[in-house]
Amino acid sequence: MRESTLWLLQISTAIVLVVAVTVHLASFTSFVGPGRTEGLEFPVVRSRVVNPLYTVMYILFLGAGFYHGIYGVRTILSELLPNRSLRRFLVAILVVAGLAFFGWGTYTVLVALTL
Amino acid sequence: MSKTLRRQSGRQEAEKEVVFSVRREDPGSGVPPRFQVYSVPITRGMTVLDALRYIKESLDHSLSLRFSCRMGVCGSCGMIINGLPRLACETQVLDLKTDRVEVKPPFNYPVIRDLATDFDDFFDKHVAVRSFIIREDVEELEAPSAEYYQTEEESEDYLQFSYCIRCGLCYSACPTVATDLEFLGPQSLVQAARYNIDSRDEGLHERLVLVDEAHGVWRCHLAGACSTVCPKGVDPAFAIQLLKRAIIKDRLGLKPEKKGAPELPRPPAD
Repeated sequence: MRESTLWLLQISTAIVLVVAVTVHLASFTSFVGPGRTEGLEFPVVRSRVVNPLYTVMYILFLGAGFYHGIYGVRTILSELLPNRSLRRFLVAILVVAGLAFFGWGTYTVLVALTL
Repeated sequence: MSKTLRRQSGRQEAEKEVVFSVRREDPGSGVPPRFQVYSVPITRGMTVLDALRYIKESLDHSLSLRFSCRMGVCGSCGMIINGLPRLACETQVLDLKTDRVEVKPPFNYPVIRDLATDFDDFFDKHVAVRSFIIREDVEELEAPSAEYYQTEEESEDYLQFSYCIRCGLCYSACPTVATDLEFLGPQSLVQAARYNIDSRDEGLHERLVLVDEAHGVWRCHLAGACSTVCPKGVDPAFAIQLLKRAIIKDRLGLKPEKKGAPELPRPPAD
C-alpha cells in the first residue's frame, strides 16, 4: 500500500476525531457543570448509549482513534528506530492490539444498545 | 600590526589572528575525536577554506578536507562552521565576527577523516529518485536529432531547483535525516520535484511512486532547516510540499496526465 493512502487516512481520521471528540465532550458536559451531576446519572447515560446514532459515532470514534494513534506511533518508530525488523514487529503488535481493543470497544457499544 | 603577521600573510597585511578549532577524527585509528586549535592570520577577503588551506600548507599537513572549485559551484567544501552548515569557500572569516571559529565535518555523514565525509548514501538516494529526463521516445532521447521545446516560463518553473550543486548541506541540516537513516532527504526530493516540473519530462507518475513511500516525502515535517542553509537559494522544503501536493492530486485523479514537450520544429530547408 502506498504511503499516501495511509497519509490520506490519517487526515480523514483526524477530521472524524475532531467531530467525534466535540460530540463526545458536548454530550456529557452539557449535563455536567458546577453543582450539576445529572449527566452522570444512569438514565441520562442510558438514553445516549441506546441511541443508534451515538452507537455509529462511537464506533467511528474508536476506529478513527486507533488508526490515528497507531499511524502516529508508526511514524515515530520509523524515524527513531533504525532496525527495520524490530520496527515492523512493534507495529504489528500495535495493529493486533488496536484491532483487539477496537473489537472489544465495538462489542461494548453494541451491547449497550440492549440496555 | 606586528612584523610577524605581515610576513606570514605575504603582501596583504593581516587584519587579525583568528583561532580555528578544528575537529580531528581518524576512524579506525583508535584515537578518539578531538578538537585541535590553530592560530591563523586573517586578511580581508579570506574565507574559512583559505584559512583551512593555510593550516594544511603551513601548520599541519595531516589535516584532511575536501574542496575543489573554491568559488561556490562544486559543493565539495560543505562543513559545520560555528554551528551552521556552510560552504567553507563562501564563508568570509571576518564576516563571522568572532576571534574563534569552530569547524566540524557536516552532520549526518560518516566521517572518512577529519573534515572529509562519506557521501555514498547521499548520492545513492539522489540516483534512487530517477533524477533525469524520462520520456517515452527513448530513441530520440538517446540519439537526439533536435531540441525539446520549452518556453522561458516553463524553464523558470523549475529553475530554482536546478541550482542545486549537491553540496549536501541540506542533508546535513535535516533533523529527520539525523534520526531516520532511510529518509530520502531534502536533496533527492528536490531533484524529484525538479524533474517532475520540467515540461520535457514524462516520468511524473513513476517518480511520484518512488517518493511516495514510508521514508519518502511524508517523513518531512517542514522544519525548514534545509532551505535555511542552502547556499544556492534552492528551497527544498517548498519542493517537498509541492511533491506532497502532486502525490495527493495524482491519487485523487485531479492532476492531468503530463505529456512531455514536443521536439522543436526543424528549420526550413534552404
